[in-house]
Amino acid sequence: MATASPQQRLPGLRERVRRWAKRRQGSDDDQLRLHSGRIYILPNAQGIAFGFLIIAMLVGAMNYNNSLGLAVTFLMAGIALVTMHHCHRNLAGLKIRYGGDEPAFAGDRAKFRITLVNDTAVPRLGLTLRCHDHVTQTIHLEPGEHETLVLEVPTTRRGRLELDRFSVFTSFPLGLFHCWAWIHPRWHTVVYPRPAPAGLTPPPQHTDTGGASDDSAGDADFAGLRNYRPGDPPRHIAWKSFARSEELLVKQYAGTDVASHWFDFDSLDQMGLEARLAQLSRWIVDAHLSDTAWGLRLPGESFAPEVGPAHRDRCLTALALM
Amino acid sequence: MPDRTGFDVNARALDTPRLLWTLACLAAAAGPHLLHLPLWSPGLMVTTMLWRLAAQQGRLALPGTVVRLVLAFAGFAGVFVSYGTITGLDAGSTLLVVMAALKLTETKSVRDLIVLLLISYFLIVTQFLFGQSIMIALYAFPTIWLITTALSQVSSAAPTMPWRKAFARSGILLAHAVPVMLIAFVLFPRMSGPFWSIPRGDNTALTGLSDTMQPGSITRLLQSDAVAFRVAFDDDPPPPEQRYWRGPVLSNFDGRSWSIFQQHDREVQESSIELIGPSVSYEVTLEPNYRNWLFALEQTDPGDLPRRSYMTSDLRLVRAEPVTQLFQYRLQSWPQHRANADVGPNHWTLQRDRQFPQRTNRRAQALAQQWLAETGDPAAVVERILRQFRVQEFVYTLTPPALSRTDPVDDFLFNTRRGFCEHYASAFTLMMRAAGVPARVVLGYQGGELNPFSRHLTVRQSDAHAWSEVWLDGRGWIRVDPTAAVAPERVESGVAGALPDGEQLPGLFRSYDWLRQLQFGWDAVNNGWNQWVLGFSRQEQRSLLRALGMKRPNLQKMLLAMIGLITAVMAIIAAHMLWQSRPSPADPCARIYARFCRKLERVAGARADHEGPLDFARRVMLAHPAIAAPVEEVTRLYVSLRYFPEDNDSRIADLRRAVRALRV
Repeated sequence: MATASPQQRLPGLRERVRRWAKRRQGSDDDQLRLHSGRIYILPNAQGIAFGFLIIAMLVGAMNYNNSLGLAVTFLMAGIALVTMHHCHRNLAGLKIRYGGDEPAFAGDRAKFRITLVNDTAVPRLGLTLRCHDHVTQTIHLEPGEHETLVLEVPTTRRGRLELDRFSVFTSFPLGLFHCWAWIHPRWHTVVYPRPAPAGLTPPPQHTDTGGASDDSAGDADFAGLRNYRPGDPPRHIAWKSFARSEELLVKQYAGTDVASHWFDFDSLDQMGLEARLAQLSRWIVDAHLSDTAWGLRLPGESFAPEVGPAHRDRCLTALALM
Repeated sequence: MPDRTGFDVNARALDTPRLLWTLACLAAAAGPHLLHLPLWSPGLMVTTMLWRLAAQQGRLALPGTVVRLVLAFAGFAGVFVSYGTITGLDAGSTLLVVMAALKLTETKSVRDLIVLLLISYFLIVTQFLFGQSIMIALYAFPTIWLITTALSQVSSAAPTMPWRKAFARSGILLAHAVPVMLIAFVLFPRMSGPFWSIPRGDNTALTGLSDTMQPGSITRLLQSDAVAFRVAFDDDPPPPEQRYWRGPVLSNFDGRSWSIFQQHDREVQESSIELIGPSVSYEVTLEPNYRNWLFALEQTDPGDLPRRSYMTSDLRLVRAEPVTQLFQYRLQSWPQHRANADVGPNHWTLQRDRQFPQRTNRRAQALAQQWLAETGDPAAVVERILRQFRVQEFVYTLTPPALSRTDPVDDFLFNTRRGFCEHYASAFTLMMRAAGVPARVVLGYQGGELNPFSRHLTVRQSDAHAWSEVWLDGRGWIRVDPTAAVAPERVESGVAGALPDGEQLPGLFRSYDWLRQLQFGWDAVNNGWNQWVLGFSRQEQRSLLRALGMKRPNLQKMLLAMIGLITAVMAIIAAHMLWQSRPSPADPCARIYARFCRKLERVAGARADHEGPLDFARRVMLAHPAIAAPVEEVTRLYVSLRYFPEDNDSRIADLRRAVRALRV
């Protein structure tokens, strides 16, 4: 599901050119190297101004029959020509690699991580990624360097979001040319239903164990993970999980007071589909933040009570794709 | 591609490093204009620069719209007050500087900075309209480097680079652009004539001969080392006593000063000159003198003159428009000639050249008339006057005493008797007129200095000279140099040789030997610069192209050759860059291993990112046992090179050999 953008609402020449490029290039893999055939270059506004400057100088120098003036004019024309090649070289042979995605709630920006790799002997300068209106920061890559940029894509509604096109561009060295390549990946991410405004209270908790017990006594009986909160004993931190995902989680044990909610799609039968999903999304987000375990029942699918970001993402994804 | 969505990288706010780069460029580009602009305009620029810097640091607000409008109006008014116009070279470039200064006060985004940088480029080119010396070129090209570097720093959205790196990068850009410049410079068709009239630099300080002569006017010129023109002779240059470079001819005398006769600038009739004897061919490179006249040896052929010039009836060489740029022309002169020999004595110019004010300088008139009565022959009067100068106590000096305002010639002849060429020429010509002989004063240059390195002749303002011409029946106009009678050395060896011992020599004349060598060397360089760079005109271009083998060069051929050559150069540069940008790890070991992987790619597929060399080798060996041995060998060598990097040169060679030997 692609997002609506101004370009798509007005399929003009620009959009037709892009479709042509897509037909020509086909879809791209998770890793690709830009070859010259798919790099486009045109003078930008500044380049056109530079061109007019050269013409003005040429006319002046010819009128005054001024040899040095002509020499400088020709030097600047040479600079403009050479700049075109230097600008093009920033992209030719550049390697682009997919670096994962970050889902978002509808209306927020989904993020795609894209790694630019320069495994050649020349620097790649002034590189920027763009998807619709969003541009990333601009980077220089010296020979042998690589850097990951985060491309943010606006979202409007829940579901699967495919990054069907983005461009990498540069106008280095002098900003006279806009040199770009379109990439048509098949990467996608999930857009979660936007949480409903707080209001409806979540269904009551029910406790598994029925009563508190001694924290230290239950060490042996591992029950699950929850987000770290300041004050948690360091020995309960799940270090292995931290090493994998860089998320600080705390182990919970049976015997601890584990209360959980069951969020049921069918219990919200007085609402429409989107409203139900929004409400479930709200409950999940809140439960996740307050570190209470929750389970989710959807038509034909059920998630047992658990805590942690992985569980949250699983549940939200299920909502998104319903 | 320009963006339609309104997103623009250059609309972003500017930061201090980018501002500083731009200010440096503006200062460097406007700097040389200080030499000829009214002081307030660079003052304005410095003020707005400081203002903008203070605003950047938050210590001062940028001016509002009203203040900016007032400043802009004041700028225009200032230019108008300074020049009386806002067009023309001086006013125009002042306006450019003023506008750049004012633009600074409303500079908020990177795009504004880019506009200022483009103005800086333009300021460089306007410098050349004021002068094109080697020094200016040596200044301009590094400034272009600076501006180009700044443009790359300012226009990029990435953080600015360290300045050394930025200069190195734009240096490569410039180095690649130089071949294009050279090709275009040689092949771009030179047009003749301006598209619009070139405004004359009115306040340009003139050094050079003027069209009037009064006591003291030439002596001032003698203080100037400035080059008037340079001459390259096809063969040997004529001896010093024949090097009379004829310029303006002064026929009007008001008792004190001589001036040019303007009213009737008729063209000469070719039949009135007889060109006889050997000729000498040469090329003159005239420095701008903002006058119409050209200098030539006697006597050039009126039928073979430089482009857009003509010869008047008093044999002056005149150009249609003033010489505002270095101007090159070729001439052929016949030192032995007879001028106006067929024009009868009733010709009106001869009448004109007999006139003089009767009421002043009466003693000189009386003496001349007395001598004519005694001898009865104009030629004898000439001799008589010259002998007078020789035998009496006449002194050649650069510091003559002041002369009477009413009767300067009498005062000079009978009292002071100390003078310079203008005094002698003036006195002689007046006496000849008093004796009824048509006579006139000629201004020009005499002599010049042969450069031992390039064999060209350099004529300086200090070689300025004045002499006379008299009309003798049956012989036509004859050149008489009365100064030669007093100080023959002036003509043979220049001013320095002619002065009495102990007299202070101006500027150039006091020179040590090594300094003189240096001057000759520098002048030779300048001469080459003028000939090959500045004076590279239509004719020069065509003859160079013919010499390079282009048959009958025309506009079409030149443009085609230029475009073809530039395309070829750009293709070479592009191919080189594409070759550079191929994937090639900097480390030779990794490069060879990459070649190995590419070889195997066809049979085993690419090595995945997660696959280590050993895993990769294992996979390949399992799938293709036939090449297991060489694959294992290469992998072993590669791993050992990675982990035991000592003595790697020979093992890298082994690795290379092993990879080359691998047949898939």
